[in-house]
Amino acid sequence: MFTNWKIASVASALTFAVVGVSAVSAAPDHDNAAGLLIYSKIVVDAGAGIDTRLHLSNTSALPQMAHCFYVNANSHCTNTGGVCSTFMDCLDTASNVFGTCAPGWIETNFDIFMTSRQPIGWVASEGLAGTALPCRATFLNPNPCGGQGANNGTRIPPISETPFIGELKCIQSDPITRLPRACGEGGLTCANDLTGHAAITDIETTDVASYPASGLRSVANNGDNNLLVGGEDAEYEPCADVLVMDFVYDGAIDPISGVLEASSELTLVPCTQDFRGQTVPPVTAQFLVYNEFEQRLSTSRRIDCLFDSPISRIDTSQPNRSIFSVEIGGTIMGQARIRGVNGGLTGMALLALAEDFTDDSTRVGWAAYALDTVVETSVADTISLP
Amino acid sequence: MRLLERNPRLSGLLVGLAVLALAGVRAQAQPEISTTEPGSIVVFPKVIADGTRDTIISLTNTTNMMAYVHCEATNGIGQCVNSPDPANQIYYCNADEDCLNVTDPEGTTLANVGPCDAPCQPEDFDVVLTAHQPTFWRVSTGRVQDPTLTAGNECSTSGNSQICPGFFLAPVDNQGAGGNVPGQESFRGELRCFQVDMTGALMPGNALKGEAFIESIGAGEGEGGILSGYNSVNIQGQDSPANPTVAVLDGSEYARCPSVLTIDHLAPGHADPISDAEVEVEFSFSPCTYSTVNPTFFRVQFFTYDQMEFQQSGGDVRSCWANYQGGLTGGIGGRSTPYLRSTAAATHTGNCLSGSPVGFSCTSDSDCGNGGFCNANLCVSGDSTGFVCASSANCGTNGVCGPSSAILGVAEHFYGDTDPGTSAEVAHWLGIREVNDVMSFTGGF
Repeated sequence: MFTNWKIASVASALTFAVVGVSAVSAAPDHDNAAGLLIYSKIVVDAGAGIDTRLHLSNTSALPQMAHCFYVNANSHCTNTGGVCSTFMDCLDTASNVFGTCAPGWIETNFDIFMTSRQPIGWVASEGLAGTALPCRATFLNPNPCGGQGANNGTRIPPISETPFIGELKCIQSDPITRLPRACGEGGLTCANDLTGHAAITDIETTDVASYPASGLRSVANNGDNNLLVGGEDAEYEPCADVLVMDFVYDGAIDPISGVLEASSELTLVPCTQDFRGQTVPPVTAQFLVYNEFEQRLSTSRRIDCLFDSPISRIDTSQPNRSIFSVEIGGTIMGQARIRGVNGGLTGMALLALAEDFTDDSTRVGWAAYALDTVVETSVADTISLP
Repeated sequence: MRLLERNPRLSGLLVGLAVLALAGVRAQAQPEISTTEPGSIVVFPKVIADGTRDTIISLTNTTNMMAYVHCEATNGIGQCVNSPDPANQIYYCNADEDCLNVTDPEGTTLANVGPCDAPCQPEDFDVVLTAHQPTFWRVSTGRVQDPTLTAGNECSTSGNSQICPGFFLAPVDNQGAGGNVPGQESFRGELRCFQVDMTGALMPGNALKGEAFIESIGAGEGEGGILSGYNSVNIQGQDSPANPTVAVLDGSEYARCPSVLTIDHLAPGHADPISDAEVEVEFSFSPCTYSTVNPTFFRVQFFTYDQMEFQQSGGDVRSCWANYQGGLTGGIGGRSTPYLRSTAAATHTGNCLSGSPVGFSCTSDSDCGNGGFCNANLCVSGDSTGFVCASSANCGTNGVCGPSSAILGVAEHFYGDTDPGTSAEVAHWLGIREVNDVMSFTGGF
């Protein structure tokens, strides 16, 4: 089919020259153990039967400590204080007046002490503390697991309310100062020993959507409470400038069952966060959406703290009119390139199959996956710790 | 005026040089292996289409240039060929003895349904992706191109194949066959796809990424649809390969493979802490080294750690593809805890594990200094396959002495007995190995 060897070779060389520009670059690392882990989506909803199981492992032969931050991204009614999605959830039955649904961002931090090579796990709605800790040292038994270290000092709280949507960040830290572990001379001994993933569980179907935590490897941490993520003086590998999400268009018929409809959810978290001042600078996410015909549509959305939405509600309140809807896309599979205009982003995606994609209650199964990352600039994000 | 006429040419030349220079500068960085950065070789370590479950493969070109892709699907598990009901009951096997004393669905023991049909038969096909094009296919049916099909929201079945809306270009190969992605019936194995140029020669364009969604097939209406999903493992390329169909994973042509895999998982047999459903875990491994001629032999060592620092180890020798049910080390024993971590690593990598200098190539302990230990190479083919060797002369006729292949892996959890929920995770890794792997194929397009 392609027989003109010279033309092919020249074309290949030119192609390689062009694509080579962005070919190799450091990016968030879901694969290697890292010093900073980001679990982009933690969901607990007792009413809907959904909870999240969290895994965190110390891959080092030495005991390690992680300083973690739950971020509660629930919105709350200004009049009743209840958790809300829109103002329609904020009817005060006493006064018969609607309140405003105000976005929230509340962090809770805690410590996890891990023994040598230890895997730790817990359920978000329950936490982990006290007698549930696997290795608890006592005066009479200072070495409960026979090796190095103990879990004493670990107190993982349950998430603060249900329903809950939020994220979790865990930073490998010094057990005395609780600040991030500084790198040794020349960056040779940076602390990058954590791996983890989250498993969002539908109790009724027992189906589980698990995804790897995004890892940012420490490259030159100075041990203070201001973390530079990417940039010229980076302490951690950079967040993505562009996230690439393959997705099945909402409303497309699943090619295997032939009857179930696909629906996807996207979760985005800005990389820059100020836990000290309790603020998150907003990031504008620009979406370029390609279908199989190479046709491109675009939209954008402001990301205030944690963005979690069905993809066909990113650009509209009417899913059938969305650029993520199969009726607009025209093909089964699409690709979205998501650029954070004024800051880096991390995130994950979730594909669900349901009898009706606009109705979560008909969901049959789901699966989560990581977004691909592209780093193009050297602008730093910052995470400020209390 | 003459200066103005010349400027555009000069500018064009400078821009061209700048682009090439920039490409050259960036090319100094090491290519990486990743599940979240596009690569030139994408590997799906677990692909299932066995009648109970099926897989959707998504493959995307992330660049603004066309991408030509050559794929190799390897059925990693054999079948017992003398099943009394081959149309409805398949017995999977790795060797003839796996076909002895099997139990059929009615509970009857069948003495011998073998022999085991040889596994590891690769099938290849090609796909072309336009700029930024996403595409997908269902593994059991493959996908047939049909440029006349209009946009729509569902696929239609044509014989044993599937036609779906969208631009799907699978070129006719040199023999005039193909024009589609073939279906893989009774398939449990792996898929790897190589970015090539339009002649079929390897091209390190780093354009490709993908996901696999493994889905249960229901016996009746309203059943099935349980999903597991994972990202492909993407191996970046950098230097143009010396051989157009041989990818050397040496950190220069292509990224090296991981040294040790690490997998966080629940303990098999324990109850899921949320749903209380009983958990089973399946681990699937693909060797990094690949050849369409000989299945890759690999030797692996496993460690499993529980939450109380209890450790158990095991090992195995496999070729082509490996799938383990119920844990890697035969159960963690009486001190089991619900959360476990397992590691898997290729043994016999031909370098010094201790002594001086650690990591350097060796053929015997004496190469590693006083008291050093040489993790010597193995015969990876030939009459003495599996034995430690110092050179290929130790491996018999046509034997090759070399390091055991690195591995890539996926863990999949099953929750409950009937129509179980599932989830899948790609194994993380701890460092990159110091020896090369090689992938070769017979050429595409």
